Amino acid sequence: MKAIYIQATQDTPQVTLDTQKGIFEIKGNSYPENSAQFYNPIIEWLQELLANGYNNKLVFDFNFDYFNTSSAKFILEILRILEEFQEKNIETLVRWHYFEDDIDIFESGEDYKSIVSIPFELIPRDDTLYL
Amino acid sequence: MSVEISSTNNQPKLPKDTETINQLENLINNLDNIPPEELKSQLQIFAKNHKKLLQEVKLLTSVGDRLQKKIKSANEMLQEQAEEIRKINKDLQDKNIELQFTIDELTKAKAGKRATTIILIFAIALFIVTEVLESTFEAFFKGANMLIIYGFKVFLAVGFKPIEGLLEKAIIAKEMKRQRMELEQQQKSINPKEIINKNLNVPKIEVKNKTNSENLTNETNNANPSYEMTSEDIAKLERKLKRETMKKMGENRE
Repeated sequence: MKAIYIQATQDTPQVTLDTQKGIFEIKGNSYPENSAQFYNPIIEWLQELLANGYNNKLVFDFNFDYFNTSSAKFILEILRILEEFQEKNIETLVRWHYFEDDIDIFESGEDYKSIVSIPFELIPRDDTLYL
Repeated sequence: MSVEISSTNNQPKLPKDTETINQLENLINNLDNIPPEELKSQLQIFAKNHKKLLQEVKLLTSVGDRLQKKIKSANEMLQEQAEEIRKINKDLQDKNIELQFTIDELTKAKAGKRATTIILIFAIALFIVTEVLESTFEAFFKGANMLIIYGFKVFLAVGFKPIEGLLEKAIIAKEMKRQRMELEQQQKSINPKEIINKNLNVPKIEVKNKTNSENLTNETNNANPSYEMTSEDIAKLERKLKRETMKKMGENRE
């Protein structure tokens, strides 16, 4: 399946969805003008992957610095699709990265973890690597 | 499952949200015609969807609350910093006045010293001249009352002090005028905001938020530029100003 690479902008995150390399990652800030427009291709891509019978391990990394409310809804939508992968017995893991001093992102991760029924890891980021 | 996402007024909406309600409405309308088994199954689906929506509402409320809190604290921080900047500005103004007073005092002292030197040179010169021309002087006043001669000498001696004062005033006036002109020139060519930024390496606050209240935050940000000056920075600025003033005074003396 054709990979998706979206460069990060000031208000949209960097997106990497590559089945060949096994990289599934959303990283950066997410407060697009139109969240639906931004996240629609990502959701469609994941649904197509699910429909195509992808059966390798799927590790999805969320590496947000910030996201707005409408992005939060679409993140949940992505997680729901990942749940469907899990339901199809495809090993799925969500890794939610956060800076240790960023309580908001950490708490959001906890909220998502409590909603979805897939393995969900909260991973603190090393601040020094981002200096 | 199709995920066609519609967007109205930039408010993203998944069709699933309305789909659940439509299903329930259909169920109510056809309640009499639905067999109990199917009704149970439909209600189970509805309960499942309702649970999902409830979770979503909880999550969005939680995220929204956090963002609101963040905006509020950012605004509070901006207000605090604006207040701090106002205080710093006032302190700087006070220090400027103090500094100007010190400069004036130094100028006066310098002018006084210069006037005294001039008068001393003048007195020495006069003494030498009178000593050399004493005989001529006495011959000129020959026959005149000695009291007039001494009186004239006393007048000259006593007159030194007011002359010195006048001279000092003239020097001070000249120096003040020069300093005022220099200051005016500096004020024309210097942008204080740039100097502060350049010298103190002032960090900027980044407000990440891009929600509706972003404008409000940015307005506050623009109205009160976000300088973070510590007491150390102020001391640094003061030291620099003093150094420059002393340097200028030294140059003037030379």
